[in-house]
Amino acid sequence: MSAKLYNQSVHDYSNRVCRFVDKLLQDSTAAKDITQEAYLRLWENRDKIDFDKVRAWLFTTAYRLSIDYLKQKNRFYSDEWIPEISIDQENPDLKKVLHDALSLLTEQQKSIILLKDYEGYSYEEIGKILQLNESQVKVYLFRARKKIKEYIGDLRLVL
Amino acid sequence: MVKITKENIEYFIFEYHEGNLSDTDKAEVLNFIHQHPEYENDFAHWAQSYFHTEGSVQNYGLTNQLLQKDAVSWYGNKWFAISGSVVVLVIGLYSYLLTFNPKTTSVTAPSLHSTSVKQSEKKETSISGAETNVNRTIQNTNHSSVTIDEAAQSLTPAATIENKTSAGIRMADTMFKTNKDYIPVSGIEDKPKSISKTDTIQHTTNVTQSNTQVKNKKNPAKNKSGVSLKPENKFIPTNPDF
Repeated sequence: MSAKLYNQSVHDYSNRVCRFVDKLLQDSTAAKDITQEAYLRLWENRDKIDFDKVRAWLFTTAYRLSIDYLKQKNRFYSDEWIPEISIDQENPDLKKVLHDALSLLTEQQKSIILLKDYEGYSYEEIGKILQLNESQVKVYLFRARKKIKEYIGDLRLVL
Repeated sequence: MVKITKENIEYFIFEYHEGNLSDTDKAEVLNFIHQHPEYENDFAHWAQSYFHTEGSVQNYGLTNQLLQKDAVSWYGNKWFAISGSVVVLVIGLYSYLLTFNPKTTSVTAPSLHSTSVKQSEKKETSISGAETNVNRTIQNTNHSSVTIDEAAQSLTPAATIENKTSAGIRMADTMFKTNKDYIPVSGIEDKPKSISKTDTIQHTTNVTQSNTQVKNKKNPAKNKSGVSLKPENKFIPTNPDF
């Protein structure tokens, strides 16, 4: 991959990767650092990577760097642990509700939701990024949406 | 097609919103919900659990930091690099030859020499002009000296003495005497003219001036340029550009 193609990947995917990491970590500063690190690794390995697979490679690298970041911060959530979140009852904006609902999900579920809804990846592509098979992706996605649905349902019952 | 029940309705609703069901299966799901209204809220909440993109992606300001300068790859642009270097070499060689061409330097020298030649020519013309004037004055003075001499012979001793005491006439006499090759110019009357003091004065002035110019010509060491710097009152330049 030439420098020209590398620069094209910067124009095409840098903001998308940063958005993915930002919503995954809920931290824009860390998201920028991780995005820069991902592109730095891409530049170092540009001879080994085809331009057709750059997008998947970037999201995969960004996801792994995000998991490492969370493990360093001791903020890696498992499926069993669900953090408490505050609900803004005065402005039950659906957008904000969904954003808050992401905190209920694990990193794996969150990644699947973000890759599916924001980036439009298929189950197979998500599986390659997260090193899962297609059926596993589907199961994790079902569980994630069910959690969000129940959170929304409970919120509306409260309101 | 698997039959839809209360145990698997959520999975079918999930598949419905994921777009994984055929038109027939979608109709079956809608028919089941219609028969069981208690699942209408679940059906709506499943639809709201999807994140929708806002159209344009937020700009995080990383683009300029991440861009790399286009590096010229040797293997990818080998011929471009070679051709570019050849072009630069040719341009440099051409400019060098154009700047340091000995023919161009010699062109300037003749121009300077030509100007100096022109100036020398001017001087020579002016000198020749002066010389002709000198010759003319010498001839005139000679004429007058001839007439003076002849007149002196016919004059009374007093008159001759009077004439001879004049400095200008003495110089004219010496000049006349020394000029052995003198040939009288035709048209001059042999009979002496009456000499007056005024005539002698005129002749003396002519003689002195002409002798000065001649001396300057004979003694170039005193005047290196060979030309009197001060224009003479009676100097008539022959070169109109002088």
